[in-house]
Amino acid sequence: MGIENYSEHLTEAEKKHSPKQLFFAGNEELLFNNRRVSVVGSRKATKEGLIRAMIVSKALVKQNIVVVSGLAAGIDTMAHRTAIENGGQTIAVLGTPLDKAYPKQNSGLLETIKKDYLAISQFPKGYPSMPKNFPIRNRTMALISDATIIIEAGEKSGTRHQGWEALRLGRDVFILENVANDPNITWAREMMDYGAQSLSRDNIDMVLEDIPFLTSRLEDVF
Amino acid sequence: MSFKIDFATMLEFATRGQNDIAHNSRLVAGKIKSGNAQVIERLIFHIKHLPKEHPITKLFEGVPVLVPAPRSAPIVDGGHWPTKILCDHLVNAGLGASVQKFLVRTTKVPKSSSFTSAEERPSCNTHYESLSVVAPEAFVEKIILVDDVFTLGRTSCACVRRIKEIYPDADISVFAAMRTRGFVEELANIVKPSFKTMEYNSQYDKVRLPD
Repeated sequence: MGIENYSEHLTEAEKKHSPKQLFFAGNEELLFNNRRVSVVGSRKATKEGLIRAMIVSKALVKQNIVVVSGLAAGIDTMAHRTAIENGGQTIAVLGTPLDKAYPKQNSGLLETIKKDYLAISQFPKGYPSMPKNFPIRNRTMALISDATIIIEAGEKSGTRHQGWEALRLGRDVFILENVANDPNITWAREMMDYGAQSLSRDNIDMVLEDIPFLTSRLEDVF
Repeated sequence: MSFKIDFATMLEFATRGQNDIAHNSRLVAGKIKSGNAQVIERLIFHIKHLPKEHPITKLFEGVPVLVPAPRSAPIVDGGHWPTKILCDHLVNAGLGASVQKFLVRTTKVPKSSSFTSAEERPSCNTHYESLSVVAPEAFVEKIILVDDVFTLGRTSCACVRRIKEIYPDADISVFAAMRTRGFVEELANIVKPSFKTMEYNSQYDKVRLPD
């Protein structure tokens, strides 16, 4: 099974919002082997947010978990770069066609990911760039990931769409402690009521170890 | 209300085991949690190939109603419910008369992965308080609570306590696809049918497993 027939790999609930087609460049095995966790957050990240994204991504690499992110500025860029610089694996899920990096500054990073890791997009070449493509892309990120970690996001952030879709799919959602405890972020509290968990330095290693293998390929083993 | 309850499991799942079978058991657990039809059908194949006199075969006799165990938190609208999917497959395979969503999780309980020891994990009473039961629609004689993974039996006992409130005279038992083997380093087999009885002591809010 490969990316071309990815939908055959999905359950009925997963098919609901799954893309009709997935275009890819790179090592498609990254979509099927081991576990994948999305690291998401603001484009206009704070210095602390970037440091947290780096710590989380390093912890994922340590557990041999593929770091999934969206190639956007800020948290996404830090997640991809940290995975690469620490000998890990990464998948970029684009809100643009594969031949177009957004933001443009990440063109080099996209080429590296296409060559040595994996980039996927549900948008064919020439597909117009529209703001709505990015939340659609976030649903695909939730779909291919065993869990989603929200590093930093404000009250109106598009990141929250991925959290809700991950919860709908039955995936684990982790919200960094500082966001989870922020009284101004109402969606974080709502997501916690529906099963999202707070992630801190104290519990990260244990929590990552326990993320279930929901999306891995499984041969006939029993 | 103290009680004894029969519980059956078909597969084993080593959360920390190091050999290939232990690793594969984690993949199987993930697929059951994700509602993967192929893996659930494989599980059903193994149930159907048990001897006629096996207690798990007998467990599914007599047109039982299957009740999916709730997730650890309320489910978002249209959200994934793995034990409901498991129940649907079992009924489609003739292992059960119907699926009845008697139980609802009204408030979340912390996931077991948030704790290092069994003592810290949510008690049976904590699970019980987080559950509500839907009013029954018809008389039923035999009910099987269906869960994906059985660990300490606290979720199961809390669910059974709630079901007993609406069906005090029904024959209630528990079936889980997999049983957690937390301290096993090497797993010999994934398929390991097991039928045992656990005991809930209401005075101490403790579940006693035979092993």
